[in-house]
Amino acid sequence: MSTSVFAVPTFTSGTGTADNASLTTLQYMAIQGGTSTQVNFIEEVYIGGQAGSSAPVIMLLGRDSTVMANPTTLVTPNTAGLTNPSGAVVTAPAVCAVTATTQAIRSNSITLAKKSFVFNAFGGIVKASYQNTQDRMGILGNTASLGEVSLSAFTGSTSASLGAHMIWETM
Amino acid sequence: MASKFSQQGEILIDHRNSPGITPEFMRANGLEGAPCVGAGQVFEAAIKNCKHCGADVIMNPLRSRDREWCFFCDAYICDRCGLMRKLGAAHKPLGALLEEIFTRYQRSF
Repeated sequence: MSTSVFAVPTFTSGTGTADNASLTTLQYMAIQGGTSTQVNFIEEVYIGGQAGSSAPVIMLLGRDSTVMANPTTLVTPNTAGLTNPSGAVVTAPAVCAVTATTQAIRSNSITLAKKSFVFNAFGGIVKASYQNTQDRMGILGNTASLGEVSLSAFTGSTSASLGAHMIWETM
Repeated sequence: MASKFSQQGEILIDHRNSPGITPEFMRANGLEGAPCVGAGQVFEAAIKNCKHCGADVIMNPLRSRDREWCFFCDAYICDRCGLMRKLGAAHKPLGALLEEIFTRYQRSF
């Protein structure tokens, strides 16, 4: 169906959060399924460093073992919307948020996939494209642990400013 | 004609204008398997998704070890799932897991 993009022009990575610990408000990007049966696939992840000095960061795209409760509606300049203006509008689109009443918790399960992006936020860029691949990271439903993915810094990172976007497809 | 290299994605880590990542940082954080892109370097490689868990399988052209391959799925799998397979874990690709959860959910009504 249609692809959408969730963009956060600038946010702080923080020094990182371990698995199985609550992520910090405004230091992550999460996409949660729009309904209990909706299927979404991550198509692309882009992270651009905006730090003013050397700042190695370990960014993880991982599944959340506790999904966001009452995710806060995005405010400008953050956006989430269709990439193509003619794209099919979904009745209950995936929920994108950077904070919530109950913050997301990245799973520590060894059988749930994570994607690791290690780069220096002082001038570094990471882009991962999955458009042509099979078995893209899927979001099934809107409950733990397959119903939400989050992009956040892992322990050991240096706090830095970043800008990022994630493109996803709703099936 | 489909091949092992069909349907690949792409990863780009661009440190051309950056001090990059040092091997010491990677070692200190237990990330020896991930690409370490130094100052002024660009890393660009194909990626496939692990058929068992969905994680990235980077087609690192400098890799000299065998890549893990699942003969049931006829697809690449990540090193972690490869280890699980060698340890005798049951064969359960991600698609089957998703289908199982979806079916369980539908039957709950």
